[in-house]
Amino acid sequence: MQKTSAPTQQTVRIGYVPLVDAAPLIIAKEAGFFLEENLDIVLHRESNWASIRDKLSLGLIDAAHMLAPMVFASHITPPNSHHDKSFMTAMALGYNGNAITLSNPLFDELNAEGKSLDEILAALKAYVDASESKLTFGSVHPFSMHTNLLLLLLKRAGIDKDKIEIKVIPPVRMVDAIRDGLVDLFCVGEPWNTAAQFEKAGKIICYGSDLWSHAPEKVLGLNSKFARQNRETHIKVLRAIVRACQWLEEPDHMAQAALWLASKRYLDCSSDLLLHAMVNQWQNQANGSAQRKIFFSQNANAPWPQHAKWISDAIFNPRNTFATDGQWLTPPDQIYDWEIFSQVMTSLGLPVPNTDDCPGTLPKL
Amino acid sequence: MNILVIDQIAKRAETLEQALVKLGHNVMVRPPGKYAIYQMVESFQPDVVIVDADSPDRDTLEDVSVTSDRCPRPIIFFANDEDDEVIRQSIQAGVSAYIVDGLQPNRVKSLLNVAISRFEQHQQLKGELKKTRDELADRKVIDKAKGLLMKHKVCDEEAAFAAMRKMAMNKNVRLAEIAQDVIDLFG
Repeated sequence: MQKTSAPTQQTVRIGYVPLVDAAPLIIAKEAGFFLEENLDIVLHRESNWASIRDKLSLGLIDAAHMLAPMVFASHITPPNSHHDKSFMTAMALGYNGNAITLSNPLFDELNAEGKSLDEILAALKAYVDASESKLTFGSVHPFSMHTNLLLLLLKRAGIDKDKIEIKVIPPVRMVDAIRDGLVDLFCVGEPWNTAAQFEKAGKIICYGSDLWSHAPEKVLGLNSKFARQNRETHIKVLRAIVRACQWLEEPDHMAQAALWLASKRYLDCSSDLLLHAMVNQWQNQANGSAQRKIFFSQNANAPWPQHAKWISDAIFNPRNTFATDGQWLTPPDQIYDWEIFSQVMTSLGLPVPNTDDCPGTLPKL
Repeated sequence: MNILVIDQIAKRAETLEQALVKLGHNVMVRPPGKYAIYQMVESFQPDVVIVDADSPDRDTLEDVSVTSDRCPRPIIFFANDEDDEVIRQSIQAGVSAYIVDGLQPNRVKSLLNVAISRFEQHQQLKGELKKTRDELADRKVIDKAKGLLMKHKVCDEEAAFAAMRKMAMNKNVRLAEIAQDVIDLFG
Protein backbone atom coordinates (compact mmCIF):
# COMPACT_ATOMS: atom_id res chain seq x y z
CA MET A 1 0.00 0.00 0.00
CA GLN A 2 1.38 3.33 -1.01
CA LYS A 3 1.41 5.78 1.89
CA THR A 4 1.92 9.11 0.33
CA SER A 5 0.69 12.38 1.70
CA ALA A 6 1.74 14.21 -1.44
CA PRO A 7 -0.36 17.26 -2.37
CA THR A 8 -3.63 16.67 -4.17
CA GLN A 9 -3.25 15.14 -7.62
CA GLN A 10 -4.80 16.40 -10.81
CA THR A 11 -8.52 15.81 -10.93
CA VAL A 12 -9.53 12.72 -12.91
CA ARG A 13 -12.99 12.87 -14.47
CA ILE A 14 -14.78 9.55 -14.88
CA GLY A 15 -18.10 9.18 -16.70
CA TYR A 16 -20.71 6.50 -16.07
CA VAL A 17 -24.22 5.53 -17.10
CA PRO A 18 -26.50 4.90 -14.10
CA LEU A 19 -26.64 1.08 -13.98
CA VAL A 20 -25.85 -1.53 -11.32
CA ASP A 21 -22.58 -2.38 -13.05
CA ALA A 22 -21.29 1.17 -12.50
CA ALA A 23 -21.09 0.11 -8.83
CA PRO A 24 -17.28 -0.33 -8.75
CA LEU A 25 -16.82 3.38 -9.59
CA ILE A 26 -19.49 4.59 -7.18
CA ILE A 27 -18.18 2.37 -4.37
CA ALA A 28 -14.57 3.43 -5.00
CA LYS A 29 -15.78 6.98 -4.53
CA GLU A 30 -18.20 6.53 -1.62
CA ALA A 31 -16.17 4.00 0.37
CA GLY A 32 -13.05 6.15 0.02
CA PHE A 33 -10.89 3.82 -2.11
CA PHE A 34 -10.05 6.69 -4.47
CA LEU A 35 -9.14 8.88 -1.51
CA GLU A 36 -6.85 6.17 -0.15
CA GLU A 37 -4.90 6.45 -3.41
CA ASN A 38 -4.81 10.19 -2.87
CA LEU A 39 -6.83 10.64 -6.04
CA ASP A 40 -9.23 13.47 -6.69
CA ILE A 41 -12.00 11.85 -8.73
CA VAL A 42 -15.10 13.55 -10.09
CA LEU A 43 -17.80 11.16 -11.33
CA HIS A 44 -19.91 12.43 -14.24
CA ARG A 45 -23.32 10.83 -14.67
CA GLU A 46 -24.25 10.61 -18.37
CA SER A 47 -27.65 9.72 -19.74
CA ASN A 48 -26.47 7.86 -22.83
CA TRP A 49 -23.52 5.92 -24.26
CA ALA A 50 -23.07 8.38 -27.11
CA SER A 51 -22.28 11.14 -24.60
CA ILE A 52 -19.71 8.91 -22.92
CA ARG A 53 -18.05 8.37 -26.29
CA ASP A 54 -18.12 12.02 -27.34
CA LYS A 55 -16.77 13.36 -24.05
CA LEU A 56 -14.06 10.73 -23.83
CA SER A 57 -13.04 11.40 -27.46
CA LEU A 58 -12.59 15.10 -26.81
CA GLY A 59 -11.00 14.74 -23.40
CA LEU A 60 -13.94 16.30 -21.54
CA ILE A 61 -13.74 13.22 -19.36
CA ASP A 62 -10.62 11.07 -18.89
CA ALA A 63 -12.10 7.63 -18.28
CA ALA A 64 -15.49 5.96 -18.32
CA HIS A 65 -17.66 3.01 -17.44
CA MET A 66 -18.00 1.69 -20.97
CA LEU A 67 -19.53 -1.09 -23.05
CA ALA A 68 -16.56 -3.30 -23.97
CA PRO A 69 -17.44 -3.34 -27.71
CA MET A 70 -17.47 0.50 -27.77
CA VAL A 71 -13.77 0.51 -26.95
CA PHE A 72 -13.15 -1.49 -30.13
CA ALA A 73 -15.64 0.49 -32.22
CA SER A 74 -13.58 3.63 -31.52
CA HIS A 75 -10.71 2.07 -33.50
CA ILE A 76 -12.69 1.55 -36.69
CA THR A 77 -12.43 3.87 -39.68
CA PRO A 78 -14.82 5.15 -40.84
CA PRO A 79 -16.30 6.81 -38.89
CA ASN A 80 -13.30 7.46 -36.64
CA SER A 81 -10.07 8.55 -38.28
CA HIS A 82 -8.12 9.99 -35.37
CA HIS A 83 -5.98 7.91 -33.07
CA ASP A 84 -6.37 10.50 -30.34
CA LYS A 85 -10.11 9.97 -30.32
CA SER A 86 -9.81 6.27 -29.66
CA PHE A 87 -10.04 4.37 -26.38
CA MET A 88 -8.16 1.65 -24.54
CA THR A 89 -8.69 -0.36 -21.39
CA ALA A 90 -6.61 -2.28 -18.90
CA MET A 91 -9.47 -3.44 -16.68
CA ALA A 92 -12.84 -5.15 -16.98
CA LEU A 93 -15.52 -4.20 -14.45
CA GLY A 94 -16.72 -7.80 -14.06
CA TYR A 95 -18.50 -10.63 -15.87
CA ASN A 96 -22.19 -10.78 -16.82
CA GLY A 97 -24.98 -8.70 -15.34
CA ASN A 98 -27.52 -8.62 -18.18
CA ALA A 99 -30.77 -10.50 -18.50
CA ILE A 100 -33.32 -11.16 -21.21
CA THR A 101 -36.91 -10.15 -20.59
CA LEU A 102 -40.00 -11.08 -22.60
CA SER A 103 -43.11 -8.93 -22.96
CA ASN A 104 -46.20 -10.28 -21.19
CA PRO A 105 -48.13 -10.94 -24.44
CA LEU A 106 -45.22 -12.86 -25.99
CA PHE A 107 -44.60 -14.74 -22.71
CA ASP A 108 -48.23 -15.89 -22.74
CA GLU A 109 -48.19 -16.59 -26.47
CA LEU A 110 -45.19 -18.91 -25.99
CA ASN A 111 -46.71 -20.53 -22.90
CA ALA A 112 -43.40 -19.82 -21.22
CA GLU A 113 -44.50 -20.34 -17.62
CA GLY A 114 -42.48 -23.14 -16.00
CA LYS A 115 -40.57 -23.92 -19.19
CA SER A 116 -36.80 -24.27 -19.55
CA LEU A 117 -34.92 -21.77 -21.67
CA ASP A 118 -34.54 -24.22 -24.56
CA GLU A 119 -38.26 -25.02 -24.50
CA ILE A 120 -39.04 -21.29 -24.60
CA LEU A 121 -36.62 -20.80 -27.50
CA ALA A 122 -38.19 -23.70 -29.43
CA ALA A 123 -41.60 -22.07 -28.95
CA LEU A 124 -40.12 -18.73 -30.03
CA LYS A 125 -38.75 -20.27 -33.23
CA ALA A 126 -42.09 -21.90 -34.03
CA TYR A 127 -43.81 -18.57 -33.43
CA VAL A 128 -41.38 -16.63 -35.64
CA ASP A 129 -41.63 -19.25 -38.42
CA ALA A 130 -45.42 -19.05 -38.41
CA SER A 131 -45.64 -15.28 -38.13
CA GLU A 132 -45.89 -12.84 -41.02
CA SER A 133 -44.60 -9.84 -39.13
CA LYS A 134 -41.19 -9.43 -37.55
CA LEU A 135 -40.67 -9.40 -33.81
CA THR A 136 -38.65 -6.48 -32.41
CA PHE A 137 -35.83 -6.99 -29.92
CA GLY A 138 -34.36 -4.16 -27.84
CA SER A 139 -30.64 -3.66 -27.32
CA VAL A 140 -28.94 -0.69 -25.64
CA HIS A 141 -26.36 0.18 -28.31
CA PRO A 142 -25.21 -1.17 -31.67
CA PHE A 143 -21.77 -1.87 -30.17
CA SER A 144 -22.70 -3.67 -26.96
CA MET A 145 -22.62 -7.13 -25.41
CA HIS A 146 -26.40 -6.80 -25.32
CA THR A 147 -26.47 -6.94 -29.11
CA ASN A 148 -24.08 -9.89 -29.02
CA LEU A 149 -26.19 -11.74 -26.43
CA LEU A 150 -29.31 -11.23 -28.54
CA LEU A 151 -27.45 -12.69 -31.54
CA LEU A 152 -26.35 -15.66 -29.39
CA LEU A 153 -29.95 -16.14 -28.28
CA LEU A 154 -31.11 -16.19 -31.91
CA LYS A 155 -28.39 -18.64 -32.81
CA ARG A 156 -29.32 -20.96 -29.95
CA ALA A 157 -32.97 -20.79 -31.03
CA GLY A 158 -32.01 -21.42 -34.67
CA ILE A 159 -33.76 -18.23 -35.77
CA ASP A 160 -32.41 -16.32 -38.76
CA LYS A 161 -31.36 -12.79 -37.81
CA ASP A 162 -33.36 -11.37 -40.71
CA LYS A 163 -36.55 -12.70 -39.17
CA ILE A 164 -36.40 -10.18 -36.34
CA GLU A 165 -35.47 -6.56 -35.96
CA ILE A 166 -33.06 -5.25 -33.33
CA LYS A 167 -33.74 -1.67 -32.24
CA VAL A 168 -31.69 0.44 -29.89
CA ILE A 169 -33.60 1.63 -26.83
CA PRO A 170 -31.81 3.37 -23.94
CA PRO A 171 -31.96 1.43 -20.63
CA VAL A 172 -34.10 4.06 -18.89
CA ARG A 173 -36.79 3.67 -21.58
CA MET A 174 -36.70 -0.14 -21.75
CA VAL A 175 -39.49 -0.85 -19.26
CA ASP A 176 -41.85 1.59 -21.02
CA ALA A 177 -40.87 0.18 -24.41
CA ILE A 178 -41.85 -3.38 -23.48
CA ARG A 179 -45.02 -2.25 -21.70
CA ASP A 180 -46.10 -0.18 -24.72
CA GLY A 181 -45.37 -3.02 -27.14
CA LEU A 182 -42.51 -1.22 -28.91
CA VAL A 183 -40.29 -4.24 -28.25
CA ASP A 184 -41.27 -7.87 -27.68
CA LEU A 185 -38.05 -8.90 -25.94
CA PHE A 186 -35.06 -7.00 -24.64
CA CYS A 187 -31.57 -7.45 -23.29
CA VAL A 188 -30.52 -4.86 -20.73
CA GLY A 189 -28.38 -4.54 -17.59
CA GLU A 190 -29.81 -4.40 -14.09
CA PRO A 191 -31.84 -2.97 -12.47
CA TRP A 192 -34.04 -2.70 -15.57
CA ASN A 193 -34.99 -6.39 -15.90
CA THR A 194 -35.96 -6.54 -12.25
CA ALA A 195 -37.79 -3.23 -12.69
CA ALA A 196 -39.82 -4.69 -15.57
CA GLN A 197 -40.82 -7.62 -13.34
CA PHE A 198 -41.59 -5.32 -10.38
CA GLU A 199 -43.86 -3.27 -12.61
CA LYS A 200 -45.36 -6.40 -14.19
CA ALA A 201 -44.34 -5.11 -17.62
CA GLY A 202 -42.42 -8.24 -18.60
CA LYS A 203 -40.78 -11.45 -17.35
CA ILE A 204 -37.12 -12.43 -17.19
CA ILE A 205 -36.52 -15.65 -19.15
CA CYS A 206 -32.77 -15.96 -18.70
CA TYR A 207 -29.60 -14.27 -17.56
CA GLY A 208 -26.79 -13.36 -19.91
CA SER A 209 -24.71 -16.01 -18.16
CA ASP A 210 -27.07 -18.71 -19.47
CA LEU A 211 -25.80 -17.81 -22.95
CA TRP A 212 -22.15 -17.21 -21.97
CA SER A 213 -21.11 -18.19 -18.46
CA HIS A 214 -18.37 -15.58 -18.02
CA ALA A 215 -19.21 -12.95 -20.59
CA PRO A 216 -17.33 -9.66 -20.81
CA GLU A 217 -19.53 -6.64 -20.17
CA LYS A 218 -18.29 -3.19 -19.08
CA VAL A 219 -14.69 -2.02 -18.86
CA LEU A 220 -13.00 1.08 -17.56
CA GLY A 221 -12.35 2.79 -20.91
CA LEU A 222 -9.71 5.50 -21.13
CA ASN A 223 -8.98 8.11 -23.73
CA SER A 224 -5.87 6.56 -25.36
CA LYS A 225 -3.95 9.82 -25.25
CA PHE A 226 -4.74 10.34 -21.56
CA ALA A 227 -3.64 6.76 -20.84
CA ARG A 228 -0.31 7.30 -22.61
CA GLN A 229 0.40 10.50 -20.72
CA ASN A 230 -0.83 9.47 -17.25
CA ARG A 231 0.32 5.91 -16.66
CA GLU A 232 0.89 6.30 -12.91
CA THR A 233 -2.47 7.95 -12.33
CA HIS A 234 -4.14 5.25 -14.43
CA ILE A 235 -2.61 2.57 -12.21
CA LYS A 236 -3.82 4.29 -9.04
CA VAL A 237 -7.34 4.64 -10.43
CA LEU A 238 -7.38 0.92 -11.26
CA ARG A 239 -6.03 -0.02 -7.82
CA ALA A 240 -8.95 1.80 -6.19
CA ILE A 241 -11.49 0.20 -8.54
CA VAL A 242 -10.11 -3.32 -8.08
CA ARG A 243 -10.43 -2.85 -4.31
CA ALA A 244 -14.01 -1.62 -4.78
CA CYS A 245 -14.78 -4.74 -6.87
CA GLN A 246 -13.33 -6.91 -4.11
CA TRP A 247 -15.45 -5.05 -1.54
CA LEU A 248 -18.58 -5.54 -3.68
CA GLU A 249 -18.25 -9.32 -3.56
CA GLU A 250 -18.84 -9.50 0.19
CA PRO A 251 -22.49 -10.47 0.73
CA ASP A 252 -22.49 -8.33 3.90
CA HIS A 253 -21.80 -5.25 1.83
CA MET A 254 -24.75 -5.67 -0.52
CA ALA A 255 -27.24 -3.61 1.49
CA GLN A 256 -24.82 -0.71 1.88
CA ALA A 257 -23.91 -0.86 -1.82
CA ALA A 258 -27.59 -0.69 -2.75
CA LEU A 259 -28.09 2.33 -0.49
CA TRP A 260 -25.11 4.19 -1.91
CA LEU A 261 -26.07 3.39 -5.50
CA ALA A 262 -29.70 4.36 -4.98
CA SER A 263 -28.89 7.91 -3.87
CA LYS A 264 -30.09 10.87 -5.87
CA ARG A 265 -26.63 11.70 -7.13
CA TYR A 266 -26.11 8.22 -8.65
CA LEU A 267 -28.84 5.86 -9.86
CA ASP A 268 -31.64 7.87 -8.24
CA CYS A 269 -33.97 4.90 -7.76
CA SER A 270 -35.34 2.77 -4.94
CA SER A 271 -32.70 0.90 -2.92
CA ASP A 272 -35.24 -1.88 -2.55
CA LEU A 273 -35.25 -2.41 -6.31
CA LEU A 274 -31.44 -2.40 -6.40
CA LEU A 275 -31.12 -4.80 -3.51
CA HIS A 276 -33.61 -7.10 -5.18
CA ALA A 277 -31.71 -6.92 -8.47
CA MET A 278 -28.36 -7.60 -6.77
CA VAL A 279 -29.39 -10.19 -4.16
CA ASN A 280 -31.54 -12.20 -6.54
CA GLN A 281 -28.49 -12.89 -8.60
CA TRP A 282 -26.59 -14.01 -5.50
CA GLN A 283 -29.35 -16.45 -4.65
CA ASN A 284 -29.19 -17.90 -8.11
CA GLN A 285 -25.53 -18.53 -7.61
CA ALA A 286 -26.36 -20.55 -4.51
CA ASN A 287 -28.40 -22.81 -6.79
CA GLY A 288 -25.21 -23.73 -8.53
CA SER A 289 -25.37 -21.59 -11.65
CA ALA A 290 -23.22 -18.55 -12.32
CA GLN A 291 -26.08 -16.21 -12.99
CA ARG A 292 -24.95 -13.31 -10.91
CA LYS A 293 -22.88 -10.32 -11.77
CA ILE A 294 -19.30 -11.21 -10.88
CA PHE A 295 -17.38 -8.10 -9.85
CA PHE A 296 -14.08 -9.59 -8.74
CA SER A 297 -13.64 -13.36 -8.36
CA GLN A 298 -12.44 -15.70 -11.12
CA ASN A 299 -10.24 -12.89 -12.40
CA ALA A 300 -13.26 -10.83 -13.40
CA ASN A 301 -11.14 -7.69 -13.79
CA ALA A 302 -8.70 -9.17 -16.30
CA PRO A 303 -8.68 -7.66 -19.82
CA TRP A 304 -8.65 -11.13 -21.41
CA PRO A 305 -7.12 -11.25 -24.90
CA GLN A 306 -9.68 -13.96 -25.77
CA HIS A 307 -12.49 -11.49 -25.03
CA ALA A 308 -10.76 -8.81 -27.10
CA LYS A 309 -10.57 -11.17 -30.06
CA TRP A 310 -14.16 -12.35 -29.69
CA ILE A 311 -15.56 -8.82 -29.44
CA SER A 312 -13.49 -7.44 -32.31
CA ASP A 313 -14.48 -10.38 -34.55
CA ALA A 314 -18.15 -9.94 -33.66
CA ILE A 315 -18.15 -6.34 -34.95
CA PHE A 316 -17.41 -7.64 -38.47
CA ASN A 317 -19.37 -10.89 -38.28
CA PRO A 318 -22.01 -10.99 -41.03
CA ARG A 319 -24.43 -12.53 -38.51
CA ASN A 320 -24.28 -9.22 -36.64
CA THR A 321 -27.14 -6.94 -37.70
CA PHE A 322 -24.90 -3.96 -36.92
CA ALA A 323 -21.83 -5.31 -38.72
CA THR A 324 -19.76 -2.55 -40.28
CA ASP A 325 -17.44 -2.64 -43.27
CA GLY A 326 -14.79 -0.35 -41.77
CA GLN A 327 -11.13 -1.07 -41.13
CA TRP A 328 -9.02 -1.22 -38.01
CA LEU A 329 -7.12 1.94 -37.09
CA THR A 330 -5.21 -0.11 -34.51
CA PRO A 331 -4.62 -3.87 -34.49
CA PRO A 332 -7.47 -5.10 -32.23
CA ASP A 333 -5.09 -7.18 -30.11
CA GLN A 334 -3.40 -3.97 -28.96
CA ILE A 335 -6.47 -2.35 -27.43
CA TYR A 336 -6.61 -4.30 -24.14
CA ASP A 337 -3.53 -3.58 -22.02
CA TRP A 338 -2.59 -6.69 -20.03
CA GLU A 339 0.67 -5.22 -18.77
CA ILE A 340 -0.95 -2.37 -16.82
CA PHE A 341 -3.50 -4.79 -15.38
CA SER A 342 -0.68 -7.11 -14.17
CA GLN A 343 1.10 -4.20 -12.61
CA VAL A 344 -2.04 -3.14 -10.74
CA MET A 345 -2.70 -6.65 -9.39
CA THR A 346 0.92 -7.15 -8.36
CA SER A 347 1.04 -3.82 -6.56
CA LEU A 348 -2.05 -4.87 -4.57
CA GLY A 349 -0.47 -8.21 -3.69
CA LEU A 350 -3.08 -10.06 -5.78
CA PRO A 351 -2.26 -12.96 -8.12
CA VAL A 352 -1.95 -12.26 -11.85
CA PRO A 353 -3.63 -15.00 -13.89
CA ASN A 354 -2.05 -16.68 -16.87
CA THR A 355 -3.40 -15.19 -20.11
CA ASP A 356 -4.55 -18.69 -21.16
CA ASP A 357 -6.82 -19.10 -18.14
CA CYS A 358 -9.83 -17.17 -19.39
CA PRO A 359 -12.81 -18.89 -17.68
CA GLY A 360 -15.88 -20.23 -19.46
CA THR A 361 -16.27 -21.45 -23.01
CA LEU A 362 -16.28 -18.78 -25.69
CA PRO A 363 -19.53 -19.21 -27.63
CA LYS A 364 -19.57 -19.23 -31.42
CA LEU A 365 -21.49 -16.39 -32.98
CA MET B 1 -29.62 22.07 -45.81
CA ASN B 2 -32.18 19.82 -44.15
CA ILE B 3 -31.71 20.10 -40.42
CA LEU B 4 -33.47 17.89 -37.90
CA VAL B 5 -33.56 19.28 -34.35
CA ILE B 6 -34.35 16.84 -31.52
CA ASP B 7 -34.76 18.48 -28.15
CA GLN B 8 -36.86 17.78 -25.08
CA ILE B 9 -37.03 21.47 -24.15
CA ALA B 10 -39.64 22.89 -26.50
CA LYS B 11 -38.85 26.54 -25.92
CA ARG B 12 -35.15 26.07 -26.59
CA ALA B 13 -35.89 24.10 -29.76
CA GLU B 14 -38.17 26.87 -30.94
CA THR B 15 -35.54 29.62 -30.63
CA LEU B 16 -33.00 27.39 -32.37
CA GLU B 17 -35.45 26.67 -35.20
CA GLN B 18 -36.09 30.38 -35.74
CA ALA B 19 -32.37 31.12 -35.93
CA LEU B 20 -31.69 28.29 -38.39
CA VAL B 21 -34.62 29.18 -40.63
CA LYS B 22 -33.28 32.75 -40.74
CA LEU B 23 -30.03 31.31 -42.12
CA GLY B 24 -32.04 29.76 -44.94
CA HIS B 25 -32.23 26.15 -43.81
CA ASN B 26 -35.07 23.71 -43.97
CA VAL B 27 -35.72 22.78 -40.35
CA MET B 28 -37.78 20.06 -38.70
CA VAL B 29 -38.16 20.05 -34.93
CA ARG B 30 -39.20 17.03 -32.91
CA PRO B 31 -39.24 16.12 -29.26
CA PRO B 32 -37.24 12.96 -28.51
CA GLY B 33 -38.95 9.67 -27.88
CA LYS B 34 -39.44 6.11 -28.93
CA TYR B 35 -39.47 5.06 -32.55
CA ALA B 36 -40.24 8.39 -34.12
CA ILE B 37 -36.50 8.93 -34.57
CA TYR B 38 -36.16 6.08 -37.07
CA GLN B 39 -39.10 7.30 -39.14
CA MET B 40 -38.04 10.94 -39.01
CA VAL B 41 -34.57 10.26 -40.34
CA GLU B 42 -35.96 8.09 -43.09
CA SER B 43 -38.65 10.49 -44.27
CA PHE B 44 -36.90 13.84 -43.75
CA GLN B 45 -33.41 12.77 -44.95
CA PRO B 46 -31.55 15.33 -42.86
CA ASP B 47 -28.05 16.53 -43.74
CA VAL B 48 -27.54 17.47 -40.14
CA VAL B 49 -29.18 16.32 -36.92
CA ILE B 50 -28.80 18.61 -33.92
CA VAL B 51 -29.71 16.85 -30.73
CA ASP B 52 -29.88 17.58 -27.03
CA ALA B 53 -26.77 15.68 -25.89
CA ASP B 54 -28.38 14.72 -22.61
CA SER B 55 -31.32 12.90 -24.13
CA PRO B 56 -31.25 9.12 -23.55
CA ASP B 57 -32.71 8.79 -27.05
CA ARG B 58 -29.36 9.67 -28.55
CA ASP B 59 -28.41 6.01 -28.41
CA THR B 60 -31.27 5.30 -30.78
CA LEU B 61 -29.75 7.82 -33.19
CA GLU B 62 -26.49 5.87 -32.94
CA ASP B 63 -28.38 2.89 -34.31
CA VAL B 64 -29.72 4.96 -37.21
CA SER B 65 -26.20 6.18 -37.96
CA VAL B 66 -24.81 2.65 -38.12
CA THR B 67 -27.58 0.98 -40.09
CA SER B 68 -29.17 3.50 -42.48
CA ASP B 69 -27.85 3.99 -45.99
CA ARG B 70 -27.79 7.75 -46.03
CA CYS B 71 -26.99 8.11 -42.42
CA PRO B 72 -25.86 11.15 -40.51
CA ARG B 73 -22.85 10.03 -38.44
CA PRO B 74 -21.49 11.43 -35.17
CA ILE B 75 -19.73 14.71 -35.93
CA ILE B 76 -17.07 13.91 -33.39
CA PHE B 77 -15.30 11.64 -35.87
CA PHE B 78 -15.35 14.06 -38.81
CA ALA B 79 -13.67 17.02 -37.26
CA ASN B 80 -10.00 17.71 -37.63
CA ASP B 81 -7.98 19.44 -34.95
CA GLU B 82 -9.00 23.01 -35.71
CA ASP B 83 -12.70 22.08 -35.57
CA ASP B 84 -12.32 20.34 -32.26
CA GLU B 85 -12.69 23.51 -30.23
CA VAL B 86 -16.17 24.35 -31.52
CA ILE B 87 -17.25 20.74 -31.08
CA ARG B 88 -15.87 20.70 -27.55
CA GLN B 89 -17.80 23.89 -26.80
CA SER B 90 -20.96 22.44 -28.25
CA ILE B 91 -20.73 19.29 -26.17
CA GLN B 92 -20.07 21.34 -23.07
CA ALA B 93 -23.17 23.36 -23.88
CA GLY B 94 -25.15 20.13 -24.26
CA VAL B 95 -25.43 20.11 -28.07
CA SER B 96 -24.53 17.11 -30.14
CA ALA B 97 -24.62 16.78 -33.92
CA TYR B 98 -24.72 14.11 -36.60
CA ILE B 99 -23.77 14.96 -40.17
CA VAL B 100 -23.96 13.10 -43.47
CA ASP B 101 -20.84 11.89 -45.22
CA GLY B 102 -19.19 14.39 -47.50
CA LEU B 103 -20.42 17.46 -45.68
CA GLN B 104 -17.50 19.67 -44.71
CA PRO B 105 -17.28 20.17 -40.96
CA ASN B 106 -16.62 23.92 -41.44
CA ARG B 107 -20.05 24.27 -43.05
CA VAL B 108 -21.52 22.87 -39.87
CA LYS B 109 -19.50 25.14 -37.60
CA SER B 110 -21.76 28.14 -38.04
CA LEU B 111 -24.78 25.95 -37.29
CA LEU B 112 -23.13 24.68 -34.16
CA ASN B 113 -22.30 28.19 -33.04
CA VAL B 114 -25.96 29.13 -33.36
CA ALA B 115 -27.00 26.05 -31.39
CA ILE B 116 -24.37 26.67 -28.72
CA SER B 117 -25.60 30.18 -28.03
CA ARG B 118 -29.23 29.02 -27.81
CA PHE B 119 -28.37 26.14 -25.52
CA GLU B 120 -26.11 28.19 -23.28
CA GLN B 121 -28.98 30.52 -22.53
CA HIS B 122 -30.85 27.57 -21.10
CA GLN B 123 -28.02 25.70 -19.52
CA GLN B 124 -28.38 24.85 -15.88
CA LEU B 125 -24.81 25.26 -14.79
CA LYS B 126 -25.77 25.91 -11.20
CA GLY B 127 -26.52 22.29 -10.36
CA GLU B 128 -23.18 21.04 -11.70
CA LEU B 129 -21.20 23.74 -9.91
CA LYS B 130 -22.94 22.98 -6.64
CA LYS B 131 -22.14 19.29 -6.98
CA THR B 132 -18.44 20.03 -7.55
CA ARG B 133 -18.39 22.30 -4.50
CA ASP B 134 -20.11 19.62 -2.40
CA GLU B 135 -17.55 17.06 -3.47
CA LEU B 136 -14.65 19.32 -2.56
CA ALA B 137 -16.22 19.91 0.84
CA ASP B 138 -16.71 16.13 1.31
CA ARG B 139 -13.12 15.49 0.50
CA LYS B 140 -11.86 18.07 3.00
CA VAL B 141 -14.05 16.68 5.78
CA ILE B 142 -12.96 13.08 5.09
CA ASP B 143 -9.29 14.07 4.99
CA LYS B 144 -9.57 15.89 8.28
CA ALA B 145 -11.41 13.02 9.98
CA LYS B 146 -8.83 10.55 8.67
CA GLY B 147 -6.06 12.65 10.20
CA LEU B 148 -7.86 12.84 13.53
CA LEU B 149 -8.46 9.11 13.62
CA MET B 150 -4.81 8.39 12.79
CA LYS B 151 -3.73 10.71 15.61
CA HIS B 152 -6.17 9.61 18.29
CA LYS B 153 -6.38 5.92 17.46
CA VAL B 154 -2.68 5.74 16.55
CA CYS B 155 -3.49 3.82 13.39
CA ASP B 156 -2.36 4.06 9.79
CA GLU B 157 -4.27 5.54 6.85
CA GLU B 158 -5.72 2.24 5.69
CA ALA B 159 -7.07 1.40 9.14
CA ALA B 160 -8.56 4.87 9.48
CA PHE B 161 -10.45 4.45 6.22
CA ALA B 162 -11.53 0.94 7.14
CA ALA B 163 -12.90 2.21 10.46
CA MET B 164 -14.87 5.00 8.79
CA ARG B 165 -16.22 2.63 6.14
CA LYS B 166 -17.42 0.26 8.84
CA MET B 167 -19.12 3.07 10.76
CA ALA B 168 -20.75 4.37 7.60
CA MET B 169 -22.10 0.91 6.87
CA ASN B 170 -23.37 0.31 10.38
CA LYS B 171 -25.26 3.59 10.31
CA ASN B 172 -26.16 3.45 6.61
CA VAL B 173 -24.88 6.93 5.87
CA ARG B 174 -22.35 8.50 3.53
CA LEU B 175 -18.67 8.50 4.42
CA ALA B 176 -18.66 12.30 4.61
CA GLU B 177 -21.35 12.22 7.30
CA ILE B 178 -19.34 9.79 9.44
CA ALA B 179 -16.29 11.97 8.90
CA GLN B 180 -18.25 14.93 10.27
CA ASP B 181 -19.18 12.87 13.36
CA VAL B 182 -15.51 11.99 13.85
CA ILE B 183 -14.57 15.67 13.65
CA ASP B 184 -17.31 16.59 16.12
CA LEU B 185 -15.99 13.97 18.51
CA PHE B 186 -12.23 14.57 18.29
CA GLY B 187 -11.95 17.91 16.57
